[in-house]
Amino acid sequence: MSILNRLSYLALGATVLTSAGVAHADDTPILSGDPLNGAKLYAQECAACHGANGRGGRTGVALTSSDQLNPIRDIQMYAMIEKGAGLKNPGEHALKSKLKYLEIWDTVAHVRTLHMTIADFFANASRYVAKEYTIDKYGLQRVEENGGVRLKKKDQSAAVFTFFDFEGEQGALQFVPQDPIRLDQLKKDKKAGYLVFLPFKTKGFDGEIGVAMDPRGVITKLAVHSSKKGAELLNKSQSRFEGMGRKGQKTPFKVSGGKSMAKLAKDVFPVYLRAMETVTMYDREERERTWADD
Amino acid sequence: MGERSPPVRIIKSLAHLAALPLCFGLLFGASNAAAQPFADGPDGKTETKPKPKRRAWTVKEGQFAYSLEFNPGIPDPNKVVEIHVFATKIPSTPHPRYGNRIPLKGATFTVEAFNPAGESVGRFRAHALPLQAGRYGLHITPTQEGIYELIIAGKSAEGEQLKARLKMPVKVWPLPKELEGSGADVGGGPRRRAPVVKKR
Repeated sequence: MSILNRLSYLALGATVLTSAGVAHADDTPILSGDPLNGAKLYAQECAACHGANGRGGRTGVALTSSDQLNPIRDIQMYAMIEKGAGLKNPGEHALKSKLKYLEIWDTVAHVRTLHMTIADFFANASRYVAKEYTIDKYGLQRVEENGGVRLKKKDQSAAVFTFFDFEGEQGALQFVPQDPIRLDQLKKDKKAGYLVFLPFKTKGFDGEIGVAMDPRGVITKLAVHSSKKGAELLNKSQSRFEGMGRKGQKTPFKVSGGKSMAKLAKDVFPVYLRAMETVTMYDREERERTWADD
Repeated sequence: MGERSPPVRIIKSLAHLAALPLCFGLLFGASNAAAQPFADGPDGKTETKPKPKRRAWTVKEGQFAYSLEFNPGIPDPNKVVEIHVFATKIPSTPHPRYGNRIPLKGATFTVEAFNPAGESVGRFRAHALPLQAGRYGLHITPTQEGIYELIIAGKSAEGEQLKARLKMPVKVWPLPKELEGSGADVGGGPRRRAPVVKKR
């Protein structure tokens, strides 16, 4: 199936999900460009190195990792495509002479379809912060005791996206840099939730999962990228975990639905614990930052 | 006696020369005459104008006016259309430099597209075009034939609400009556008048 066809189906799926008979849906994610045109441009200019489906190629890195690509904001990705900003060999990646201003934005929009985006989980949030955290030894111990998994060195870190709601800014999804003055505006009572992308393996699926939680640690959404094989069914099954979990959860999830659901619950739980422990690291930093507020 | 006298030959060749334009006239005149009855098409309908390369449409909502330029003017399904939005504010008294259309700098807005069935096909961010005050651009690839609806929604730099609705015909040509023209009659297009204060 060609990228264009796949995109059309994705767009159709998104339309079905978001329109639902509503004339105007505010929670529709905002696209930085036209992904359909972006797919054509990607095939011309990028696919040779990054692969036709973005899974990496001879020289280009994979563009399918939500954990690695979401911390790169749209404007940064634009600069990367335009003049190779932030890359080792900027000249090799500068496509300014080949792509026009709006075409670069279309390419950015297409690259965003190759992985899950933060807007898929918190489309209505106002601001967010993103930072990578490493689970400390106490957290690793808890994951091992409760989830029965010993995390390897490379699995101990993940990016945590924390979202905040501000009156009148719904859907703006403005990035807040690690600047003390701007971070000070992000009060606990405005927190909308957390999002962590982690590797996930279960029967018939090997890829990445997005774990979205509210400020108490309750799962609000579990999802895998819709282009993956069996993603639709898996996402449907995973929706049954919504409302489960809390900070400090020790007991595995229990869901009805036979052996297959029990297996899924068994596979999801360690991933949830890992996400929770990464979020705990964010919380600790936030406590240090806001201890004087209370 | 078998040989003709030179004057006779001259007269004959002149007669042939005179007959040439007549032949041409008969040939082409006849073909023109044959084409004449079908000039408006076999049904007698008038020929449709070619699709415009670019099409402009202006909408006015409250104190704001949006002049949109579509390229191509009438897009085809699965072909990208470039939309430039010239967002302006209508002041209560004319601005000394911009007249009665002040370009909106630093506005953030999106354009949501609805297909002919009324389903949302995406909310596209309008990007400020470099070095063009008040001008924003975006691309949309419509996938269906028919009339799309576009909804502009966002905020100006001062936090004022921006909202407007308009139609985008896709492979619809000639246009229905309500989409003919530039739309400028609803609120007046951008003023072409010289600025009140001239630059020195």
